[in-house]
Amino acid sequence: MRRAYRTSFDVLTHALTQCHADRISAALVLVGDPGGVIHFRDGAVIAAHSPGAPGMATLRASADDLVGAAIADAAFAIAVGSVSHYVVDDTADVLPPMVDGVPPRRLLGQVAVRLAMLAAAPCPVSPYRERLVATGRGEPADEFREIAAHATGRRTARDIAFAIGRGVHPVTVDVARMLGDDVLAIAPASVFTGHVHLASAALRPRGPAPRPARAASAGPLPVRRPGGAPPGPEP
Amino acid sequence: MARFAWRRPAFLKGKRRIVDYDALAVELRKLRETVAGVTDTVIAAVDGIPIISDVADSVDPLNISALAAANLGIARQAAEVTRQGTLNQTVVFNSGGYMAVYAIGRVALLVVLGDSGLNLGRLLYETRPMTDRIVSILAP
Repeated sequence: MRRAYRTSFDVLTHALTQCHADRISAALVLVGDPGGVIHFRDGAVIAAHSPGAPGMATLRASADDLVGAAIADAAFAIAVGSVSHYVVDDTADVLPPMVDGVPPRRLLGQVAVRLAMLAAAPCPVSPYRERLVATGRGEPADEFREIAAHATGRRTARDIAFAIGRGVHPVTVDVARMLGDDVLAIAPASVFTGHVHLASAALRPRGPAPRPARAASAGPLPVRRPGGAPPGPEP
Repeated sequence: MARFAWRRPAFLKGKRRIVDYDALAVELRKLRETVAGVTDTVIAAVDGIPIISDVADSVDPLNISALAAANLGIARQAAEVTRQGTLNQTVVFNSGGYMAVYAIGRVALLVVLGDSGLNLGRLLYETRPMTDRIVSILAP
C-alpha cells in the first residue's frame, strides 16, 4: 500500500475500530479532501457517503449487493483521499438501516483490497487530482470506451465515475490501466480550459440593416375578364 | 497561459481600468480543483452577459448566464420582499446535480454547476472569500 494512502487508511481504521468498540449509533464525520460520513448503528456500518464516490441514486449498476458496494466504494473514496481528523456526531439523524450492518473489520478489509488493486495497476493515479484526456492512440477496449469518451481533459477519474454512474474504485483502476496502455494521458495541470468573453455577441453594436430585397420590376398584373378563360374540358 | 487584459465589459463602461482576466481564470480553476464535484463555472455581468467561463462543451455559457441573471433577479426580489437582508446565493437542487448562483456585489454573478456528489458545505466555505476577491478584481 502506498504511503500516501496509508495515513488516511490508518485514520479510518482507528476511527472505525473505536466506533465499533463503543457500539455507537451515530455518524462518524471524517474531515478531509474529499472526506465523508459513515453512519453506525450499534457499532455496525449501515451507510457511508462521500463527495468522492457516487451514491446509490447515481450508480447505474444493478449489482446484487448495491448497498454494500456503495458503502465500500464510499469508504475507499475517503481512504484514498486525505483525512485530517474525525468527529462523532450523535446529533445527526439516525438513518433507517438499508442493510443489516457491515462489521467495520470487513469494511476495512474491502477498502484495503481496493487500495492494493489501485496501487498494483500499471499507472496508479489519484481519483481526485489528475485530469484525463484521451490520446486518440490505440483503440480502447469495449469496456473502456465509455471512460475514454468522457476523458475530455477537464475530468478526473472521480468526475468520470459520476458522469457514467459507476463506482469510483472500478473507474480509477480502469483509468490506471488505460494510462498504462497509452489510451489516456494526464492533461497538463494549471491550464485554463475556459473561455474569455471579450465581446459577447449580444454586446456588439448592430451592423447596418440589410437592404430590402427589391422585386424585379414588372408590369401591372394582368386583369381577369369574364369569358376570357379558355374553355375547360368537356364533362 | 495567454495573457488576457482587455477592456472592461459593458457593465463597467466609463471606467478606464482594465480587467485582469488571468486573475479571474485562476479563481475559477482554483475552485474546480479545491471543491470536489464542481463541473462548470461562469462569471457574468448582472445583466446575464458572460465575462469568463470554464465550462464543458455541452454547456452554453450564454444560456447559463442569462438563466442565472433571471434566477438571481427573482431571488433578490424575494429577499427584499421578505426583508431578510441582502441576497448571497441561490442553489437549485436537481436529481443529478446542483446549480449555485452567487451575487458578486451588485455588478456581477458567479454560477457554479456541480454533479450529484458536490460538497455543498465546502463550496459555501470556499466561495465566500472567493466572491470578495472577484469583486476586487472586477472593480479594483
